[in-house]
Amino acid sequence: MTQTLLDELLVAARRRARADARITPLRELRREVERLPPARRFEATLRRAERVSLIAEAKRRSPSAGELRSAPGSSAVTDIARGYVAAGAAALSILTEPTRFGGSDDDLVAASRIGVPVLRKDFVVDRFGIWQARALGADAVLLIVRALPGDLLGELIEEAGHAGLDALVEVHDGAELDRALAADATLIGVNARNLATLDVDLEASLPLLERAAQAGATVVAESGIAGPDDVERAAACGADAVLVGTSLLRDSDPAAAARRLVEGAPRRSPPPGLPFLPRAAVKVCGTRTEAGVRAANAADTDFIGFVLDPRSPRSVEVDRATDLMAGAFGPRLVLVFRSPTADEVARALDRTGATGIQLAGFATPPPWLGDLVARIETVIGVLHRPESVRAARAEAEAWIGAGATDLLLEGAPAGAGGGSGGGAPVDIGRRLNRTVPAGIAGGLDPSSVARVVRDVRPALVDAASGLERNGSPDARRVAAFVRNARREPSGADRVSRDGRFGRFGGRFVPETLIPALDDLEAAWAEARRDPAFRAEIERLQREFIGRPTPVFPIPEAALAGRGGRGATIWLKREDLAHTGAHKINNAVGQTLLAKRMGKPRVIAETGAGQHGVATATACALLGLECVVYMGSTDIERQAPNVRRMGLLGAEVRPVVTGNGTLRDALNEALRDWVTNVGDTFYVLGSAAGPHPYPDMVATLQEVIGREARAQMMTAIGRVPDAVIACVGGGSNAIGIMRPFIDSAARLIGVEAGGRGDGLGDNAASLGLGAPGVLHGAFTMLTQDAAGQVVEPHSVSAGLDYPGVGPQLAALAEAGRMEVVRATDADALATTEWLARSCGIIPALESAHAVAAALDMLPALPPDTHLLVNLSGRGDKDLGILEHELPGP
Amino acid sequence: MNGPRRIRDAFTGAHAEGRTALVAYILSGFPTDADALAAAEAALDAGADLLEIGVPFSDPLADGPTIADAGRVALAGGGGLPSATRLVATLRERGRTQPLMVMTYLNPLLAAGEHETLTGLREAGADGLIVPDLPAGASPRFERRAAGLGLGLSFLVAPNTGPSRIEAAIAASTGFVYVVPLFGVTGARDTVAAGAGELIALVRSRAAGRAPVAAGFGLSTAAQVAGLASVADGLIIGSALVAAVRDEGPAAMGRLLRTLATGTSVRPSASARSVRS
Repeated sequence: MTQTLLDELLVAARRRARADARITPLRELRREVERLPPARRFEATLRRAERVSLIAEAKRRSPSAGELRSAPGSSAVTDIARGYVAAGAAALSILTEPTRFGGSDDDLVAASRIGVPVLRKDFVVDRFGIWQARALGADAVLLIVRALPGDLLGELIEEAGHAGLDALVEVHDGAELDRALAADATLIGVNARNLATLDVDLEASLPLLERAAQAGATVVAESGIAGPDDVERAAACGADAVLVGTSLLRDSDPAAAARRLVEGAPRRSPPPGLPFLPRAAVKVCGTRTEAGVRAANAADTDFIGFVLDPRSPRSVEVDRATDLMAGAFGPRLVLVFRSPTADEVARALDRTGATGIQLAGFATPPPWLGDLVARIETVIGVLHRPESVRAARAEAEAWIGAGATDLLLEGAPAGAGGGSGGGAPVDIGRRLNRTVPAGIAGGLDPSSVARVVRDVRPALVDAASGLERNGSPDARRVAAFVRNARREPSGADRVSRDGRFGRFGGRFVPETLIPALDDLEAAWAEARRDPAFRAEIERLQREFIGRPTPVFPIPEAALAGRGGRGATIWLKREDLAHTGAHKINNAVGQTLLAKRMGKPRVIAETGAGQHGVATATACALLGLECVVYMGSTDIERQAPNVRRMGLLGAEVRPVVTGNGTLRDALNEALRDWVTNVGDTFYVLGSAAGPHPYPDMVATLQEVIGREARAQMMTAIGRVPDAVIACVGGGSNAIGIMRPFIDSAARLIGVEAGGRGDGLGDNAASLGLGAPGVLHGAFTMLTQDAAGQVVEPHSVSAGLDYPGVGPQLAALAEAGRMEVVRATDADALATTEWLARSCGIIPALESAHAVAAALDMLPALPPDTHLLVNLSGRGDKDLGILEHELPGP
Repeated sequence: MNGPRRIRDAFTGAHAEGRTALVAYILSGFPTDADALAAAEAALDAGADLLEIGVPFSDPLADGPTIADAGRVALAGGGGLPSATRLVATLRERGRTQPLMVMTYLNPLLAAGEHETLTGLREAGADGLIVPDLPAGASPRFERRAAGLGLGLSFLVAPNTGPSRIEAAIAASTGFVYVVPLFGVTGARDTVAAGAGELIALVRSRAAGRAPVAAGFGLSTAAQVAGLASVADGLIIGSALVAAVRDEGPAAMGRLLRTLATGTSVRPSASARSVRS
């Protein structure tokens, strides 16, 4: 690419940025990005790989190579990119430049859904281009040194850090490399193409690769890689990865060409690393009193630190620390030293029995650390105010190599103790955390910690003075600190004012329903603040529904038969709630609201019939007219529930459109509501649909998790290790999970795997679907490439829904909730097993969740506790069970 | 010509001829692509001033049985946004210059990438979009992107829409303002909803000089058309045409539309009103 061509492309890029900014201004882009989960780790993937990585590039054409593929188009580019990934490419590079490369932003959006980190290859000239890259789904952005004069390069590297992106900084010669290093680039691409002649000269680029690697950068060789030999030469000079496009695309089979490069890539020894965890651990430091230990316990913190440095105002004697530690259970215990001798550390460990240490005051890890690490679980190495990201990373990797299990970046210099001022070094932290998981400390307190977590995405947050009131630890401040540190940075944990969880949710409905939803939102907001309304819900929960429902541990003998080694599965017995499922929690709340709003007529949709029965039940109690829409297929397979609704005085209207299942019932209920919006209240059964339904239903179902958390505290003294629930629309899942979002418990959603992973064979909208709009919300859907919603399949009618509640979509995207699948066969077998071994016949829906827990069981160590939402009982499924299970 | 311009010219042109504009809804892919093309041409030949090209969707929650059932037939035959886009392109290839607006639920527009999909529609010759499950203001980016591409948008006003939402719909409608004068889904009805005229008149007075106002949902007879002709800048015929295509074919649908067109004359008193574009 010649200078003239580059200039021309930059002019076009600036023009494009201006035009794009008119469609989405920078501040809107930034707001969109705030709602996204963290970008995938582009640089870390390359840096940590066991072999030299291939970054495979997809583009439609290029100025030097001309038209590259016969059928340029978004789907063609996506297909090529998929082929690369299947062939083993570690990352993708997607050209979005339209004028000379024929690229499109949509190519990037589509490629970002494939699953590996994606680089936006374009001519980014300003902040807008960086935030736009992130909003389009990129994980890294290309910055061309020659295109970014003066301070602009450094500013855009910083800006990429703010946007949560890696910056691949491209250099062509030694002078540009100097500029890149001076701007603290961590990921450097050496382009072997001579800009004056357009010739590619790999040989000439090798010394630059070598110099960049020696400076501590992650290094990518760009251009000029034609085959495995070239990869080897680049690797010998320190390249961590190669970026290849044209030579792959000229091959008649680009994926096969990619595979040859991947298979020929030499092995390498990556720098030492630590695993990235989905969220920050919380350490409460400088604990000196029993009250402080109790506060940390109660707040379910991950670490408690006892400072043994006599120079610190928060230090305690070793004996005192030993006493205090006796009162701690749950959190891991860490002794905090500054510049200690090996002896001091060993003696303190012996006396206290602690299993963790934190070492401050060292520029490099002390040589004696190796002898200690074998006997302790936690070694936190402190990095003191490093001068650059590359320097911090070199120090961090040295600590990890020496045995550190955690890192803590402090604002205080090595000579001074913690708490001696020096705010948290967020500028270093946010970029360091892209490749090395490091914690952060320095003046954090309950009001600042959520912001710092969102900005830096640290592995650990640590506070001491910020948790004190009048010089001693304050239980409320500790609790608030832990809670705020665990806020989901993308907003998946609570609804925003415009009805979103992260980027999911919203209100996409015909105009007629907008006023109705506005009214509902206002009435609900007003009612939930009214103590009398809350008291009435609580009374009915107690006296009518029969709450609290118990938690019940599956007997050990039964679990032993399934490979259990002492782990416990606790069942939250929603099957014991009135009408036999959790649905009644929501139905009672919403019908009370209907009555409060003066709506005499209630409609509902139902799949398995549980929500229909619950609504009919609540309407009978409250004297409301009740119409339930139910698909004709479901009416057949859930006949007992149809009879129950009739007996309760509800009118069941069969829906014969579509496939006669839940989604058709929902469509029909919405049509009814559009027609009768004046006097009708729509009781939606799942935490799905347009705002405010997802939040309202989740709030009404939260009672499940609140009870369970208290019950588990009583039973085992801590939160369970995992909370597991089946996910259709997901009201039982969000109901049990919400009160655990800010806890250390894993959250696991179990989708209906049906009869396989093919489109239409399952109801796995989270695991196998794509984002889209259905029933009023932006969420994950089972749909085809043209955006038509595909009828899902599950043996259980209650999971047979093509969408999912937006909060679960957001929690899954943020990585807070793990998503697994259980098949029809798993659910049926588990139903039978639970019936015979425990005397509990679960609903087929709930059996999916139990099946997933049983699946985990053999790998779990003793004293592990799983909490499973047994959301309903199985009587309604007798017809299906008789048909599907061989008789006795 | 950019989309909003062409859409508004159609209303101005009808007005100059002393009638309300006739907007015909054709469901793409129904019952086949070829029938839909024939129906679209028949509608234009019968005097439709503007075509709405409907896109069948798996979950048409704003549609009544006529269009929902027809949509299932169209989908089974391979219908969807790509087929609707082809229909638009074919009509342009055949020299049709009337405004063509694509009416689709939101999800098909998002699936293949919003930018690429809207660009493709514009390149095929579409002048605008009607997206019933995208309320005005719900996606400023979508609105700006459509504007940038020269695609007009029409937003809906319902009987319970309050003054501020009416204003939002008018402000965001770069095509026409779409008044749905009744509670409920699409589908032919025997009588025009009570208060329909008042609602249309109200919206029209607010939109005067900014956007033409057309009303639809439920119109199926020349008498109904005549009753509203003087109140609205345009009248939209949907389910009745889809039913005619279903029962008797595209040509019969054209004949029905011709009959309905006899009711479009504006009474002199009302023709004094002007619709500026």
